[in-house]
Amino acid sequence: MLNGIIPFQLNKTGFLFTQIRTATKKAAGSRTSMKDSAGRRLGPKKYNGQEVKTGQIIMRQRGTKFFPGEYVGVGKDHTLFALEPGFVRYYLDPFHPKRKFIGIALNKDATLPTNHFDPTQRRFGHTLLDNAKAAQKEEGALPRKEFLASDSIKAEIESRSEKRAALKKSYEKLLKKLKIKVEDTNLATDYLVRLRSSLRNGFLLGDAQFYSKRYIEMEYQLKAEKEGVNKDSRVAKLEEICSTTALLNSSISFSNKFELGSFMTENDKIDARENLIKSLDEVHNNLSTKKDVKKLKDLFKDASTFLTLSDEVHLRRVYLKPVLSEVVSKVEQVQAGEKAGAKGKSVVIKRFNYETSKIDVIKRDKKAFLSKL
Amino acid sequence: MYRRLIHTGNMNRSSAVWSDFTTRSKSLGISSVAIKEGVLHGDKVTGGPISLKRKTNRMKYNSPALIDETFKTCYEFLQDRSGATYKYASKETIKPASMEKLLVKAEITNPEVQYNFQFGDKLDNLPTMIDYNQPVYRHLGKKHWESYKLMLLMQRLESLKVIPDTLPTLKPRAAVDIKFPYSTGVNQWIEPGKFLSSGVTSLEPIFKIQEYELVNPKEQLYTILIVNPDEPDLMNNSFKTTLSYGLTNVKIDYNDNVVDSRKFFERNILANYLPPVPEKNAGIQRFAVWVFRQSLNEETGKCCALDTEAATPLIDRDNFDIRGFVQANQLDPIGAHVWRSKWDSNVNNIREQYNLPKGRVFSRVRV
Amino acid sequence: MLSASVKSSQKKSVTMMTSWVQPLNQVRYKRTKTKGSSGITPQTQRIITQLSVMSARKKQPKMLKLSKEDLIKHQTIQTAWNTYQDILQNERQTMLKLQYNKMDEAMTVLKQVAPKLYADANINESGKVFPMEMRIPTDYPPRKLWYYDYKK
Repeated sequence: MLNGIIPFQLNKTGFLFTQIRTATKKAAGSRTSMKDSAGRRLGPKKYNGQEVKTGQIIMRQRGTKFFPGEYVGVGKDHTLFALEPGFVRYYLDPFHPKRKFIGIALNKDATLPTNHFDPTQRRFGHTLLDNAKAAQKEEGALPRKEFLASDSIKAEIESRSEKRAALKKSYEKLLKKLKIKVEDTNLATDYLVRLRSSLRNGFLLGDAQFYSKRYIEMEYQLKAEKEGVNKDSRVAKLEEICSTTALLNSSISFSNKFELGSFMTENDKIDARENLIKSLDEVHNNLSTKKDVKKLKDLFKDASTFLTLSDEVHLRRVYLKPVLSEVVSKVEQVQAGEKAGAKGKSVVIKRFNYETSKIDVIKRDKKAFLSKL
Repeated sequence: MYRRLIHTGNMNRSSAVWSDFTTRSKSLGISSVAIKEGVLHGDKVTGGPISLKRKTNRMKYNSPALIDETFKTCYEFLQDRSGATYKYASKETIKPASMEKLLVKAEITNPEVQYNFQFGDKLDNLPTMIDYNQPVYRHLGKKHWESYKLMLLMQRLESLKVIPDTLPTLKPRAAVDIKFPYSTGVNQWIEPGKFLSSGVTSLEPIFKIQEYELVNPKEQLYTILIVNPDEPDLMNNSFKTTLSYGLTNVKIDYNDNVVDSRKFFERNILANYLPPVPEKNAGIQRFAVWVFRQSLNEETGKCCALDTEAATPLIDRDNFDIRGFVQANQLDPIGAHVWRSKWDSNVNNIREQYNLPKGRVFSRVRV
Repeated sequence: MLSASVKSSQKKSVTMMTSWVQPLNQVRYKRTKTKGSSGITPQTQRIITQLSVMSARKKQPKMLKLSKEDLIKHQTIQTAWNTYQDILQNERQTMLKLQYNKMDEAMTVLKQVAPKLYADANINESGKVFPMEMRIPTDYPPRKLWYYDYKK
């Protein structure tokens, strides 16, 4: 055969046909077309209806020829594997058209896909630890992080409960001091501690009182149920709780810093506020010495009992203003040539003026500064 | 051209609807006098916007140029249009649903209403600022809820699979929020799906049900169920649903809608509160709160009340069929919530407190 | 319930001087370390500045900060303007719709009455924007108002 010429041959019946050469060398000097690798053994490993254990591979594929359905996981090379022991199901899901799924049915007679609005089929899987010792050991076992943190958490819990206990004791003393007679001081102080923390957490007074009372009631009821206390004494105790809380609500109130004090009606508070402002005005208008400043500060001592926090802060800012406004107390601008004579009665300040882009030298009366009175 | 629209045509110059509070609620205006002045007339009198607390900040602040004059013209324009809407709404032949829409349309452009809504607390609302009896605030509230909280809730319900596992699906119409004030005195609204420790959930929660649709608050009754679909059922090696808490025949208002024990009595309790007491290695338990509207007879206008005395003995708390219960009592789910509970070392104390049997311990690994 | 003296000072504060209050920073500047910043020579810095000036990166106007009241006012103004524009748009659209309907009606009648004229009126005038005969709009009317002897 000459190179490049396709030989013709006559077959027995006399028709010509061309000889096709596949997978052969074309001409001298070229490399082979033998480019392929060994088969990767892809394809299904478990067929429809076969029982699988967790982790067993169901399908090896390139890309997702089959998508993971129920209780089937997918690996980084799109391998489908079982997440639960059960029976393999190949199915189509109307919610995802043009896709084929492989899922695990937990029971042999179950079919996939499950109805969209049906509850999911679930397997509990954990075994009950009957052995008391094993159970106890397992219950006491903590994850490492929790175990390492448990000491500090316990310490925090301890410190918090200690603080609460200390608060309880102080309230006991205070109740005695305010001469409020309660049958069960333990109950009363529990209520007050809870009431305080509710108020600190931002509940309104009415809600805080109700929730704290309810907490006491519910705790008692659970205890009574457990101990099997008879109905009459239960009712009596609940009435006692009711009356005690009512008494406390009418005889104590918390200041704006959540300190316990005697009760004040809203009108009392308003009156006290007015009186405070009157007395503050009196002192403030004749402010000249340090004694006057001390008087002002003393007037604010009890203010937290009848003022809200914002109100108190506002009044303090107005009456205990460290530096008087320059409109109220006159200010003299020192001229360029003049020497700033800082005698006992004036203070000199240098300040940058953003309008003229120059430094102003300002002389102020010493009386304008609260600390320098 | 803008002025032409105001000075010609059917503009009734005497329509000062937004400053007339004889027929309208006070909540449709700004309650603070200073802020109202600042919004409607500008802050040149006060020397700076009142909403800025610090004087130096007030002094530094510069309003955009000519904003007050422009605002005045636009305010009058919108007020006139609102007046026209009110006039149209005063006709008798209008259905309640269309009336709602008209009232919303009339007030939604009111700057005072917008101020109240944008800068007022929407969850713990002050009725003087945001009054949910007004259709406009309900509309704004609904839009606000739909923009985040609703989507968050649906995401949590779906990804935690509360939706197919308890009830089949939910079309939320009311915002449900829960809080646990009794157990620890903490004042925190719970985010759906949050992990709560056994101490927090040891006493019952309170619910806030905010309705945005037009309902009859005087007649409409509500049912609340808390359901745990993750109680281990060893017989079937699966899970069963238990009823944790059940309340029924509860009445709420648009503003007064916190359901705590001041709102219900013994006769409203379907099932007493049993706290979450998960067992060791039993997994994470979801507690789904479902809120239902009881069926309202449209002809008589009365809501059918659930007979607790008859219903309570029929309920199997340990293996509760919530779908059956809902269908049998013709309940309409309008809102839901969910939290999660895990075993912790305090669970045994709570079991003791409630006189429940000691919890079982399971193997750590699933076989 | 403040005292009189305090009240009066507050009123006076309206006309208070503000010279000592540092105005809001309207200038953007480059963050630089204080002493001996990392070895960029002044020449290199000059080149960097020139390149920065030529590029548009991060050269945005400052985010406007409005007080609560001003924000509400701004939103009201926006709503009012958009409502007004909607009204005008609707008017324009309804006018066009009515005009079209009338034209349609006229053509239907014309078709019945005079089919040949209808055909002439219906010829394709694709690409024609303004008729050659149209009068260019002016502020004032022309000296000669109407050409009675006009011939095409």
